[in-house]
Amino acid sequence: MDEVSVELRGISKRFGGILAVDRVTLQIYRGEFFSLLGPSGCGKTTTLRIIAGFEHPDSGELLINGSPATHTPPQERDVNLVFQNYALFPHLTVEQNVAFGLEMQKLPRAQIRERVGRALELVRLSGLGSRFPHQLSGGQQQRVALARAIVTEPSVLLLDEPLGALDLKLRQEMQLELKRLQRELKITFLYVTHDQDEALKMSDRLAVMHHGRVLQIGTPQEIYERPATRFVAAFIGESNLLEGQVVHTAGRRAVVQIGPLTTNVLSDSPLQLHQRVTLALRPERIQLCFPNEGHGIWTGLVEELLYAGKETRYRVRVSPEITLTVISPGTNGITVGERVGLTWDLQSLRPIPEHSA
Amino acid sequence: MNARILLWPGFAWLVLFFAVPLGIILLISLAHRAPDGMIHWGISAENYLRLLDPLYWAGPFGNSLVLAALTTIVSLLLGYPVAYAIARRSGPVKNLLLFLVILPFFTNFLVRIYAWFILLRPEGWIAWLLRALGLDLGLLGSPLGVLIGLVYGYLPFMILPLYATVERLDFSLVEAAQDLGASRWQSFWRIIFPLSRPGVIAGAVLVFIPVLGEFITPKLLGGGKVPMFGVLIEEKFLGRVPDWPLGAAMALVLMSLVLLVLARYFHQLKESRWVG
Amino acid sequence: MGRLRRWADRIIESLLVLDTLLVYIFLYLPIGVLVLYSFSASRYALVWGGFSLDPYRRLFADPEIAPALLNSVIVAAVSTAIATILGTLLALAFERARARLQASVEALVYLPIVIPEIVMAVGLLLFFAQVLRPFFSALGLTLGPMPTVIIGHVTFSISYVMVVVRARLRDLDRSLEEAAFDLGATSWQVLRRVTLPLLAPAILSGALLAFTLSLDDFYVTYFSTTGGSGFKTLPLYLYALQGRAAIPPQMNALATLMLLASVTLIALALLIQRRTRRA
Repeated sequence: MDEVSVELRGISKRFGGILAVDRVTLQIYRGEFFSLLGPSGCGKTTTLRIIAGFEHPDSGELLINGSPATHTPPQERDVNLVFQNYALFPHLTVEQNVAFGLEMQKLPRAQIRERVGRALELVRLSGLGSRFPHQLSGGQQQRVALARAIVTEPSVLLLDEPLGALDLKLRQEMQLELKRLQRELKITFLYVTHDQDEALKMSDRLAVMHHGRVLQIGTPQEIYERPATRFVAAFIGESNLLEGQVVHTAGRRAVVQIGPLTTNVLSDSPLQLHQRVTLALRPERIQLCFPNEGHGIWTGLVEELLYAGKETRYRVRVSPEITLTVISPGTNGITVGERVGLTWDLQSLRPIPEHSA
Repeated sequence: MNARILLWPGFAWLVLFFAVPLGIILLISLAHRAPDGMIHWGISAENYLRLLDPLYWAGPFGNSLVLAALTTIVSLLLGYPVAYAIARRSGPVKNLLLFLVILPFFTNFLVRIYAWFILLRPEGWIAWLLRALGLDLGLLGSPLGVLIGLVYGYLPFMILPLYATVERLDFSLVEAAQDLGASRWQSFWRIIFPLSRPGVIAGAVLVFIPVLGEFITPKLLGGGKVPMFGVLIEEKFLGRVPDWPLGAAMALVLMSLVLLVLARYFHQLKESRWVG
Repeated sequence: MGRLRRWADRIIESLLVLDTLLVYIFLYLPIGVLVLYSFSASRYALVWGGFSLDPYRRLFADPEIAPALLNSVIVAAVSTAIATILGTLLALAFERARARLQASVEALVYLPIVIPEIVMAVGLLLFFAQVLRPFFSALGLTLGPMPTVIIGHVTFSISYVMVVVRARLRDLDRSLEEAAFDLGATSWQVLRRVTLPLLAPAILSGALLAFTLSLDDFYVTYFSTTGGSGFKTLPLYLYALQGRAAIPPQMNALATLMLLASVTLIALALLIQRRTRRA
């Protein structure tokens, strides 16, 4: 059993009339890369700030490395925060910025200089030590903020949407950098982002938040393949959501009626006859084929298509009320107005549990 | 349209009624005052030579410099926490606090000094309070009394530029410092204070310079025992024995001290939004 | 170690709060005393003699008040008008001139704000005595005290108005003027129909500032009206009262009323500023 680095038990925080964090409970293991994922305003940043010590929860407990930390001031927590806007001290050089935390610990000068040098090397900024923040590019500033936070060797590193201000290419580079850094340093990373792509790519585990609540915690595969709620299914990747009713059951298999159409469903727990279900089907799991081949589960009419280079998106109408989004790699030469067949793996069609947000 | 023509009316006025008068001060300071009171124009440095007398520098000139420096320092110590407190608030409370600081600045200076006159005299409340505490300070007619009056008059001049600068600071820097282990004091001293330097300098300049030339406060609260530049200059121009050339020379010595301070800090003054 | 730091931090914080409180008390104590004593029924300004509106009655009965008040208001109104126009023009010149104006020009305009007022006052005294009066005499005219005071007031107000208007001008969205040009307006039209209307609140603020400064002014007025002309503005009247053996109680009443006037004027100015920010 891995050690728990950070534990939140029933943490809640209200701002005025709004419940920003709603009874959040989770455990983050030592050495993990854990992400808090959710749309803006879902409470992830507030949760992070509670862990850092800049907000006090109204209720609940926080434990850091096993000891209670709910009321400890931020200076005394073994946690460092990489701010979204970097918060670099403009009047200090890069070196002085990075050295700051070590100076607060009153370490001897020689040791400080050595550790600062190593940290700068780690983030690949050696040689820029005597520059001032305003002389650096956004990406470089970001790395200074990182170096400053890791040089004191905290047990947990909190990152508040650190890559938000960078352009696409740089962001992708930095994602790899951060992952590499985390593996090298073996520090627990708690990463906050609204970019689900990023979270899925980088995390060992992640928690999806919405309206202050944690909706689901799991590995990227678990979250992607088995979304626990409608929101998670829609927020992570894309999903076609279909409402239907169970018309036949046989153990874990069932037949669900969706409008005029029916389809087979495999579920983890048996479904009841006449139960209403929501099914999630990801667009990239649908394959297009000839409508008359007998392979297609359903057939439909292509109403729109959008070619985007590495993939093409289709909107296919399968019934008067139901249109599915399909994503296929490359191009199939299919045109608007054609009839196509759609088929998918049984595993790809997932029922979503009843009580979902 | 060349916007430069808009410049001329105002500029011409200032040249005529500001620059030229300064020039006249210079000219007269080089003149000679005959015993009968008439002024003989010419170029003579005699007035300046008289002012080199250490008696002036130990007395009124020195007093002015010391009091101006003290006023600046005391205002800074008293005013910084206030500026900081206001900057950290938000909403209606902030506006109210700000308004309350600005208000005395706009009330009549004379009135306020007069109010201190009431408070500081031997029969006044403060003296009464001090006596109750066992201290017998003759505040009225002493440099301390004048200092109090000066700090009172110029405190808002210190608070406002400080506030303007502190308000614009990014407070996530304080959080970052705390996150890295700094105590409140350390994060103030190493992050906030250095970054508020333009405001500190602006405030210091806006207090130091006018105080150098003050005459009402030392005259009313000093009872004639606290001479400063302003008091002396007034005597030389409007006193019983006027000596315009000498007074003009004094004004120019004052002016040079001011320009010295300005030359060093004018740029920083404009950085702080208060002036520009 | 942590406990000690937390303690120290808490002490420092309480000291700071205490300081802020004391400063506000310090700022308002004399004003409070003044207002209080303005309701004192006593023949002496500095003695408390029970509640009464006597000082105010005496104030309104004083024959010297009316002319002083009139003088103050006229001087303030006229000097404000002139200073506002000149100051606004200067602000426009600085912010809209195609080439940057020389530093020396800027210095001259900012100087009146920063130098001690007494230097300006002395300069004006000399200027009037040695240049302006002789000039008028040579023409067979006499230069009365009011014009000289007005001139003095305009001189120190111009720079303040300029600063206020310039600040607002800087924050103004340039693209509004550019749009007007793009639609075919001439420079004058843009100035008249876009810039000035947008600038109006700042100009008003500047005018209020100039007005207040003029009403309150002592140094320049004092030095400009020597020569026994008997011309007084309110501050001068106040100052003259000091010289008497026993300071009459209407002084407090006058001071309180002046306070009230100032408060109203600034409240107005701030309200205008706030409206501007919303626009």
